Amino acid sequence: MKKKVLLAFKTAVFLLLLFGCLYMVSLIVERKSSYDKNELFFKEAKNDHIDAFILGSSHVINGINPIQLYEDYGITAYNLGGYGSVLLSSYWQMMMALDYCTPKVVIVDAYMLENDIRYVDDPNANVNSDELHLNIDRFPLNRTKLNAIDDMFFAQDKKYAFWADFIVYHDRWKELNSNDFKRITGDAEINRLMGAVMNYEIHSAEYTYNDYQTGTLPNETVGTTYLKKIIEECQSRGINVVVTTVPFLAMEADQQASHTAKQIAEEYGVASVNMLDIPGIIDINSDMADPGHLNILGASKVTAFLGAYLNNNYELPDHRGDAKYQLWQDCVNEYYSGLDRSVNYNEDIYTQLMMLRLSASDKTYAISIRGASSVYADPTLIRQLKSLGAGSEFDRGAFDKCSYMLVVTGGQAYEYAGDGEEKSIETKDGVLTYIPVSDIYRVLNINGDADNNYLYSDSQAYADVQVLLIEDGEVKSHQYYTSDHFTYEHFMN
Amino acid sequence: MQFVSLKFLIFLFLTISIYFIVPKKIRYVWLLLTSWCFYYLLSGKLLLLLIAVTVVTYFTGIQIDKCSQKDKMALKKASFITGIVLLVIILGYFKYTGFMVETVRKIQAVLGLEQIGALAGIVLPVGISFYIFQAIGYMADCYNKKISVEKNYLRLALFISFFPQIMSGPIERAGKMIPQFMEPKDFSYDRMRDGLLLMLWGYFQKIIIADRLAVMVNHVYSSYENYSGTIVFLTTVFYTFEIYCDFAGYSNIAIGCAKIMGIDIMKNFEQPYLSGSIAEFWRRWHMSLSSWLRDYLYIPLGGNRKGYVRKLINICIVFAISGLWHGAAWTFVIWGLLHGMYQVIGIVLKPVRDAVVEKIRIDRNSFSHNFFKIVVTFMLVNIGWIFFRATTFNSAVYMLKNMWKPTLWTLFDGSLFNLGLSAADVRLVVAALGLMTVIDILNKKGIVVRNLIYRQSLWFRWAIYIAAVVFIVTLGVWGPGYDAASFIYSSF
Repeated sequence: MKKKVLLAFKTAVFLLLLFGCLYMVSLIVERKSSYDKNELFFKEAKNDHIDAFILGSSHVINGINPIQLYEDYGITAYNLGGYGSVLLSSYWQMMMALDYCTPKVVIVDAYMLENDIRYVDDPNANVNSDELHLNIDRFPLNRTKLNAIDDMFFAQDKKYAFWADFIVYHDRWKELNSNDFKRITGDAEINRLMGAVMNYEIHSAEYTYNDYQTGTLPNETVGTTYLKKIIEECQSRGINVVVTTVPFLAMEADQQASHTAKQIAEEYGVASVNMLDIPGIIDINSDMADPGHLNILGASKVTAFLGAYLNNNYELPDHRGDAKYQLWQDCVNEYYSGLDRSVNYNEDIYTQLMMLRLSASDKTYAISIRGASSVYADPTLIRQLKSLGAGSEFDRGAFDKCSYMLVVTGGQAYEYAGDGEEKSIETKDGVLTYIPVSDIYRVLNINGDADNNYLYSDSQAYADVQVLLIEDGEVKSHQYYTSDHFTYEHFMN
Repeated sequence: MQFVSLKFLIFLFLTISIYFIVPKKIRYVWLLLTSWCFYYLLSGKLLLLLIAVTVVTYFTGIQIDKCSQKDKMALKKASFITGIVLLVIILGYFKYTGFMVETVRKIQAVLGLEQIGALAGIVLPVGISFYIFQAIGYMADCYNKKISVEKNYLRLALFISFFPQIMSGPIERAGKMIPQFMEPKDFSYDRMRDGLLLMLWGYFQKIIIADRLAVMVNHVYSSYENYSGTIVFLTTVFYTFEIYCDFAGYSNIAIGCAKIMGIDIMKNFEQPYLSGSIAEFWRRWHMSLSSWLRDYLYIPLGGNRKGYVRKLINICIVFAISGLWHGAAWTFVIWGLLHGMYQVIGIVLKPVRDAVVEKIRIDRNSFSHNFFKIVVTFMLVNIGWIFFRATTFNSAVYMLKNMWKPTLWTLFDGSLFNLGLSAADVRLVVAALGLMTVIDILNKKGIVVRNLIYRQSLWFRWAIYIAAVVFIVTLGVWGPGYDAASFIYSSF
């Protein structure tokens, strides 16, 4: 008998060790995207620090920045949006999150409300069910998660990988890096934007937003059913709901969906912010990375709008300055110092100009275009320069294909086109002297230092665009962009 | 439900747990129920066919038993032949009807005759070749009075349906299995450990090696015209190892499962690629089939008792049938005949070979001589597998023709990493093949690695076990998104 007990004990210890090792390996090999996106949610939910959930698709991941909400209003929101998330998945995302904390308000984006596919693994579904790993994997397996998987997936074999993601990820052994191993020690990299992801690109097309003057969706859909379930669930728990539609290049069905969302919100007596119908929030041509997704510039505008709305309509506490919320302040500091750094050294000229627009309004910078440059035919660049302050002089420069100089200081823009006499510009960072001698040879001195011409060097004489950031009388960064059919080669000093 | 699935492991755990709880007297009933359940999950309604085979086998046995008196010998023989014919008809219908119809159609096409209609696909029941051979073996043993007839239908049905073997053998003998069902053993920790380690080794062979090699082999065979030289040569070698690891892996899992329950199943492989001759290869490869063919076909045909020429003919017949047993295609027949010819030529040339060895004074025990024999045998077997793997005769000939051109740079220029597997996978499979070869060499020298492990201290043993499980589970080819090849032999 004693021998049997000892054997049973040994077996139990062995199994414990075995499953412990397997668990650790499963943490190492797991795809870190869900951990990365949701880890701070768990940390902050545990401390009951989350006052708002943001639900929706990639439109909200890229479009609403909780860090900006905190910086501007002290609102603590977590972006629980998922790539390709339809209302069905947003509902379950909310349900899983509600197991860990109860927010004061839920903001739900109604994109894809017209989607009428019952299961996300339906081959006709316009979503990739594998993307749900981002939403689901980090959430521990419990009854809600099991119900979520059961409700969202039709095929039984599709469910297994969501019950235990090791089934999918064990094959990642060949792509492991240091961050994967840090998962065990708990210091792996994680998303510090509270679930949001900013997009730093800008689309190159010229869009016109078309208002189709549509009504609402003709029929009830799976999307409308689940939007109602979200509202009902929130109302039953005393949580406020804001139904939104984040702006994008909406087609007729999308506009119908946004109107239906508003109608449903009215039926239930909850708030609705359909940003498609509110003009002037974003510029569709400069604030989007592609027709569906906002870039960081658009996100900052949408977030500012939403923040003001929440601040005006709900009594959400302002947590700024509260020591318990130091993590949020740390994330804010990291984000804004990152933005500050990113006004320099962007290989992509479009990103560079966008970051100047976003974060350099209090700085002094100069943008110089050489004469006869092909960039005058680049519509994206032209749009961006105009948004920075380029005006009639730029139009003249583009028409004459001559050299051009834009200086922005403290939000004030000065511009010069063509060859000509010396120009002097008083900026908060020094006096700039600009002498356009020829298409190629231009002179820029700072504070009368004639020995240093910042606009000419033999090696970069034919650079199409030069971007100089000036601080306290010195050039802090100097970047050259040479265009080859609007593909820009980047060089920096 | 494949062996490589979580479902199977759960099924096995439940089956074994309950097996040791139920009273010994009725354990075989539990095993039969689980075996049929396993087969149903594998093949659905084709379970009825399996049951039909067990019924035919059972009543044939009973009939043979009833006619055992001397005056009823003719009836006994008739019963035996009827039983065999019935089973062969079942096997023939499911396995060879399509093949025969296609052959007739091709002959008609060559002769310019009007072709008979093509046949709608007949589903091949999983493991049919194995369980029917096992049933025929039982009837033959009863007829030859090697064993007494099993009067308990359920026990006989279990012998034919036993779940670890049902897909791909080993093809066991009733004389060995039925007594084990009648007198089940108590649970033994050592047997469980041994069985689990054997299963682990089987999974290593299957999901670490075979399923990776399958990706490369399938990649090349599916567009063989695009490859030549060393890549083709390597592909043939990879298939040689793939089929070994696939089948030996299956066999080890099957034997391991049974061992945990205290049931011993015969070995199926003993380092076949370390054989020094084709005859030795067949004593080491698929041993349960080789011995079955010897006992129930070669010897009844006369074996080597009817003269030299008849012996050679018998060998060729046995190997042709062996080829056809493996698959209903002419490439399998060619593969079988090729092995038959290897043996015949080996026998015919033996005096010449002996004379050469004597003349140039080769030490038969030297390492170099044995190594040379192993390499030659391996290459002959390797050539045979080309016909086994190729889906058409033309592709086999292409591979055979183009594998000899040396393009050694393809080993170094990254070509190997463009055959469907990543560089990491290729490196892993090469290392795993190295490990397996070392283990096979040790086994051939009589060193059983499992026994070496058992002699180590507890913590060291545990570290090895845990590392092995983690290694196989993590690096193995399984899970969704990967079409893990099912066991090759389960389709025979």
